[in-house]
Amino acid sequence: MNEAIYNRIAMLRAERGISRRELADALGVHYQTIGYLERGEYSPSLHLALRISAHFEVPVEVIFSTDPFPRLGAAATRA
Amino acid sequence: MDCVLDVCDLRMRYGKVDVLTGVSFTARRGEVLVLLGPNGAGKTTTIEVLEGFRLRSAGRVSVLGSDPAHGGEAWRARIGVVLQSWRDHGRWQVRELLAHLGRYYAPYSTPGLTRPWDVDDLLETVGLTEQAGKRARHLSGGQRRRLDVAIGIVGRPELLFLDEPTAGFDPEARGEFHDLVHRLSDLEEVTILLTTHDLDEAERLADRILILAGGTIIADGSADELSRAASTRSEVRWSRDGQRFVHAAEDATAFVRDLFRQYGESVQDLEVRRASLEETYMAMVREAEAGAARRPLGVVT
Repeated sequence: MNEAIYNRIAMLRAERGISRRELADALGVHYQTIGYLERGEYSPSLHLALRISAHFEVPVEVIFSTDPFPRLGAAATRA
Repeated sequence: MDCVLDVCDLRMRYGKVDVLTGVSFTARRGEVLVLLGPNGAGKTTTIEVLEGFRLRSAGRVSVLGSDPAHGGEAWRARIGVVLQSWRDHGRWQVRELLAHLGRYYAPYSTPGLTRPWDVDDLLETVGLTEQAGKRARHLSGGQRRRLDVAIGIVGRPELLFLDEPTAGFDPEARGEFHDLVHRLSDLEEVTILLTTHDLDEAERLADRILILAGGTIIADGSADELSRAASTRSEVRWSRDGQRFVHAAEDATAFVRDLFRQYGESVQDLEVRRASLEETYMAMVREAEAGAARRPLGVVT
């Protein structure tokens, strides 16, 4: 029973120029946990998911989805 | 006399810069205090004032019952000092050097305490028996540091200052050094004040941890008390139906109680991780520095 949750934390974090360390400190989790969340090894609790979206000031569905996010085009990956 | 160190509102000013703005703490006999703080916070200055090497600007300081600004030879003989780096005596053989330095302490023996430390005992205590005949400059870095410690304790001090004693030690040498500190405090009732940047070391050694930041002591307590005092969250991890979850809880116990109420036996692999001393330390220092930045500049209180 795979109830995978997909997320775009890494993308948002890179776009905002926030380090894993900074995000970890803001959320009150360990540094490595950000990596676990970004790779989908762990799913956040609902409360933590809402706090992540509040931190980025976007609706929760912008970051989390039950379906894989579409691959981003060249427009969004410009450095 | 049970109170070995009594520091009250210690202030230090270099020119127009206030390095210490009011440091207060005490140490009882046989206690191990670890002084933590960012570089430049004034740890070494504080220790130098207590050692009598530096004259304070203000405040009341009592070290082994005397003011270190007026401590005589007899007072100094009761104190051991290991500085950050100490690279002289290179041509001396280890045993000779310790025997030589030890002789200075002989006049300060008391009925209850024979000074200096017997050289063979001391060599064994610091783990330098095999290097007794070697010249100091031929010792490895870790052995050299042990010799520094041996020099610091040869006079059987009642109070020992150690400034970053394990910098450059490998894990084994560090472990042996920790055993030595425990032995000195537990068996010899030596009071120890040490500085380090190694927070695992602080957690392992300290009866009490003092955090110096912004010129004052911002925290004073055991590692456990500090982590309870800091407003950090605990991380809770668990799995359910093969899926792993993580949550950051202010009250981990209440969260876990709810978790079981909701999911019962399907909750597996539960882990609750409180903030480490490192995280607690970083949070406290950051908070103190933010507070200092909010304070108006140029005001000396």
